[in-house]
Amino acid sequence: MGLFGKKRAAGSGVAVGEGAFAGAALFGAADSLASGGALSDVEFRHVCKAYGANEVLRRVTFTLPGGGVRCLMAPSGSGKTTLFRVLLGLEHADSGEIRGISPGRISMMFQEDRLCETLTPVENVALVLPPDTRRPDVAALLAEILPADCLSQSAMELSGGMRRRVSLARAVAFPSDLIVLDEPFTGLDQATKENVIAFVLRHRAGRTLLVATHGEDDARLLGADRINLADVQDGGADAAAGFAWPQAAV
Amino acid sequence: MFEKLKGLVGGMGARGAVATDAPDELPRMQFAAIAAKVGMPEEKVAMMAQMVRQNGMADAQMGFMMQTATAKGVTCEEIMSMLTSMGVAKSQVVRVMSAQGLMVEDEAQRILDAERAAAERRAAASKTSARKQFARKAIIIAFWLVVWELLDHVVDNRLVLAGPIRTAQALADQVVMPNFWMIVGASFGRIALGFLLSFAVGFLLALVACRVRLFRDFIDPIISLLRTIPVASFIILLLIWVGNQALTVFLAFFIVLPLIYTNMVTGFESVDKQMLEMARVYGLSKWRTFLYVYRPAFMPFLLSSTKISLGMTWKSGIMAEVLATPKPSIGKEMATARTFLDTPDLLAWTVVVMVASVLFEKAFMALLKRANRPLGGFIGKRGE
Repeated sequence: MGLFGKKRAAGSGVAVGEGAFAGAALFGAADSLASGGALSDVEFRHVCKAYGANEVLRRVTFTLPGGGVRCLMAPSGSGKTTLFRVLLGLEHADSGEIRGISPGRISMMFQEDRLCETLTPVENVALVLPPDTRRPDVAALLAEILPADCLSQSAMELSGGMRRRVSLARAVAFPSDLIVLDEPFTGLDQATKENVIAFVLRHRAGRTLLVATHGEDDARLLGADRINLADVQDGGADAAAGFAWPQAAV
Repeated sequence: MFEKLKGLVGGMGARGAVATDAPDELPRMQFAAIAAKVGMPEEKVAMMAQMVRQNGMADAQMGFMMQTATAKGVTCEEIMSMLTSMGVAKSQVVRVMSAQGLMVEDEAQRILDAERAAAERRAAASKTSARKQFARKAIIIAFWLVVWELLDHVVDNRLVLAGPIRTAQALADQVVMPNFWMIVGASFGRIALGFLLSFAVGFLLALVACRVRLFRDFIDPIISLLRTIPVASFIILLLIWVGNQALTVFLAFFIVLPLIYTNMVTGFESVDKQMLEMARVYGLSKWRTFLYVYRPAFMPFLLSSTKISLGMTWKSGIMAEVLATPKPSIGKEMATARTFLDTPDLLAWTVVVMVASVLFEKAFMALLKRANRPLGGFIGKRGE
């Protein structure tokens, strides 16, 4: 109990310097960073995807700088989910490519919670981590954004906002090079949201972060540059600048 | 949609305080209406309702149904009244609905709170009446035993009917016989072996069928064939093929196999595709995916089909023994009792079969329920 209390107290302040608390056991990016290798940029180049006549992604082109934080502003139905599915390798792009990341190195927080209903929050997070992960470490991590007494309840007994945070913690805890959060703040009040943003930034450990959101304020809170999905369609900035990728690269 | 739902449950908050066990809180839907709405044969709806009343319904199974129903354009409150009409607790429907994102959080929480309060009141009320209930049941059973005994006295013909007392006497006589336990053990062994074999084979066949499409295309017609062959034909064919000693094992096997197989296939197919994607994105091992994504999906189907097949194995197994009279077996004893018109003995052996089948069912279902636990303890290492 004392452990939870301490961690929660630490988590309530925006303490950015704490990032490395759990060490390499919980955060895989720490090892790639520690070994000196800087994260490479993630480049979307002319990514196209159509379902029948519906062209969802039209030569989507943009770059996520390695280790940077970006907000993807995409209204519903604008192809955000499809973009993520292609990025995760769940669907193949019709043409174009994504460079600088492989599907196994992405931790994804889906728009839905996608939790194992009968497992506790700790077990849900530990499920995606290596078998030798220590449960107290996971519990300590979760206690930063969740009340301690809900850590032993099964996921189906949690409220929507709590489930959202478990899903988020799972993405943050998973060893990866890129964290993608798809509307992570739905169902959270302002105070919780700020706490959660601090949590993400604290444990990002230098990884590239891409957050899809509707909230105008979220980019500012995350300290992130915005990317409008509508702007990066049809060749993105290249087309605007009158530049075309050489055919060989596409 | 939520406004309607609110109206739907709004009245309940006020009325729920008085009506502790009122089943009419929601508009009840007739099975025919449900069947028409979801495009399912009516008898299937009735069968599902039957299963829900007996074993309840698992969240995963219900979530799957809700998704299919909403995909077909069925509204939220219609799903709610359908499921409650089929005997699912409202609190469970609400919980699954909010988990599926079909209902707003606050609303779900409010309904759940109201339901919980009602459940607590019911529990308090039932605590006091539990003993009364028990006494009532005991009296009813005693009543029928007395009727049975009286009937025996009226008929007063040992060849036609034996009352409970004479049956008990016959049973006591049998139990002290030196080979009684061997006879029971032999029958039990045959039937259990046949059942366990078909359980294992049905499970594995379904597993392979869901991974290899071609395999499934070849297996499915065989399974449908097994379902439609009359048990009598089975018995005669198997008597010719495997003889009377192995008949029970094979019959139990072939009777249960289609049931386990089809239910397991449905179970595997009902797996949450989104959870599979999650498992893939996070690189979950095959074993973990099976244990935490597939298992919750197929367990409800496996549990209900196992319960049904356990009863079927014993009934068909004993029938096979009566016809094939392998030695030693309960069926042979029954056949002998028939030859000598020894009704008390026949009834005594019937009691033995009933007890054995209930014990086997209880033991196996308890085992299966253990396999249905969350098993979260296997994930990660405990403290220092």
